[in-house]
Amino acid sequence: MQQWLNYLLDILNSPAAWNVVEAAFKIVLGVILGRIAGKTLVRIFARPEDLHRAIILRRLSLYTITGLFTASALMGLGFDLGVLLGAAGILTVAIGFASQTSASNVISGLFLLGERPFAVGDIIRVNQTVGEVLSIDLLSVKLRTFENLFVRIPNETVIKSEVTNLRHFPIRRVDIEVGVAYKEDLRFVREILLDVADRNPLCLEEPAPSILFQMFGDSSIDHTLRVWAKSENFLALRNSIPVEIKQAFDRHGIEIPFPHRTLYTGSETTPFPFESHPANGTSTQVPVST
Amino acid sequence: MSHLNQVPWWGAFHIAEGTCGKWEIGPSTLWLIHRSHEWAVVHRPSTDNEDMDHSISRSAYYVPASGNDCGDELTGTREGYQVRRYSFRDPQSDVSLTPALADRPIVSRPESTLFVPPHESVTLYLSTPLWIQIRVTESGRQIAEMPSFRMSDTWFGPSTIEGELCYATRTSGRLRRDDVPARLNRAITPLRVLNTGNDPLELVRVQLPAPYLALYKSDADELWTEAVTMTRSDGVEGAEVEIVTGAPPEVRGASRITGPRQTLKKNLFTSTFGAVGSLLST
Repeated sequence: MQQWLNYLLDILNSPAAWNVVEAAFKIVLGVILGRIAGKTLVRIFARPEDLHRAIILRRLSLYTITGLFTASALMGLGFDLGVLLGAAGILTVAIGFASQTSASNVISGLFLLGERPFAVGDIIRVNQTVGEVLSIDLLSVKLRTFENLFVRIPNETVIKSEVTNLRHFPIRRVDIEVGVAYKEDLRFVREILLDVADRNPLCLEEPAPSILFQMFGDSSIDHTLRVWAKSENFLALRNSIPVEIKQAFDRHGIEIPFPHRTLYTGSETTPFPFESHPANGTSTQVPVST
Repeated sequence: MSHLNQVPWWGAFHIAEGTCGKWEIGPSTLWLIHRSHEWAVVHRPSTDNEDMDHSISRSAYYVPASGNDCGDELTGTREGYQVRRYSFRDPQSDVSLTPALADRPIVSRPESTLFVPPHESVTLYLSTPLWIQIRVTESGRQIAEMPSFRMSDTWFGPSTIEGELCYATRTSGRLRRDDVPARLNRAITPLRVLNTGNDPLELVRVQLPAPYLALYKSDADELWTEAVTMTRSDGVEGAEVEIVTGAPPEVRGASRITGPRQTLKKNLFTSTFGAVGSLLST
């Protein structure tokens, strides 16, 4: 036992032990200084609402300063950095082959931070997933969907796929499909639609609402009402306009038709032999003399 | 100018506990209900006939309002009513209502096109709806604010990418002060448009920097804002916008009611300069 204690004391008293302690201290100091420098840089250069820039600044300063202090600590321990870097090079090739996906994600992450198609807090759509960006990390982008689910999308997927940023521009267009019966006066319908848009306070007056004719459909004449809203009000307007259109159409007796099917029994003029008897509330098929 | 059946809706009011006050300001109807340790602010953007037309001009108050007007059902959940309750440790019976200008710039569009010939100037009188600020007199703290008429949103800028969110309104482009109807739910801004260019200037729409304007009251209780001058010159895109500080000379016996919501670092601002230009000429 005594022998072990003496051995331990010898190690602690040796200069190598102090070198290790010094190196550890340097690394810890590097991490602390990196964090402080990151916070200071964020305070100086990033506006409070610019989370994206804050994250980049914080990471850059932490990695650089910690890296420098670690290199200095290794040198203090007697490592030759040149040899270490050479060994790291060979190691990188080996690791690279083994972890192609991770490496690709890291590189993609760097491109994402540089290209900046979206920032933390934006609402984006990647493939079928729509959500708010929580963070852009080394390997992945984290989203919170509107169902409050956490979605992790690898950076490589984000780089490869089509990404739509729903909050990039301050205003957005809402398209609403409206079909009216063939008997309606289309000029009057357009007038009503524009009046509905005019009365909704969330609907922007400029860019002006517009109505686009789509087609003579199977059962209805279809138009698209295009109105603009502030991006944040998109959903509110999308939900309120159809209610107001329906109310206005009901008020003016304009029909929104169901699909129509006309049945023939082989002859263009003879009606389908079907009669209704509302008195007893039932319908029966009766023979019709032709 | 006289305002028939209109009394100023603003000022300090004493509403004893257990009673309430009712205000009719433009199309808006507002109730302030004083309960034990509580103020309830009920706002309906329409009149009793559910009319929300911007042209309605009402300015009246009933303090204390009759029991029928202030039933408990007011603070229940009813469509079209916005109810906010504020609780206080010490009972306070005095509130004050103050008019204020819009919290965003207002884009005004003349109902019919107006041209300003070269080297001419014209003064338009624009009237814009007021906001209602409610304060507890004792602490001076603002508890609620709402518009007397909710104007439609609009975008003002050279493109859908650049620009600023504003309120939209239409103006008849009145050129004589006496033609402006007296409405205590709206404030009047004298807007002088100066065309120093060599071709006629078509006024399609103008942006009124409402958040930067102070509000004044005349001795006849009309509300006026500081005057705004827009100068358009040749070879320069847009118009220079300048706020003439102080009450407009048209206002007799002016006294300042509220200062601007935002202060300008310099009197002349060029931020709306380009936008005004490109939109004026379209």
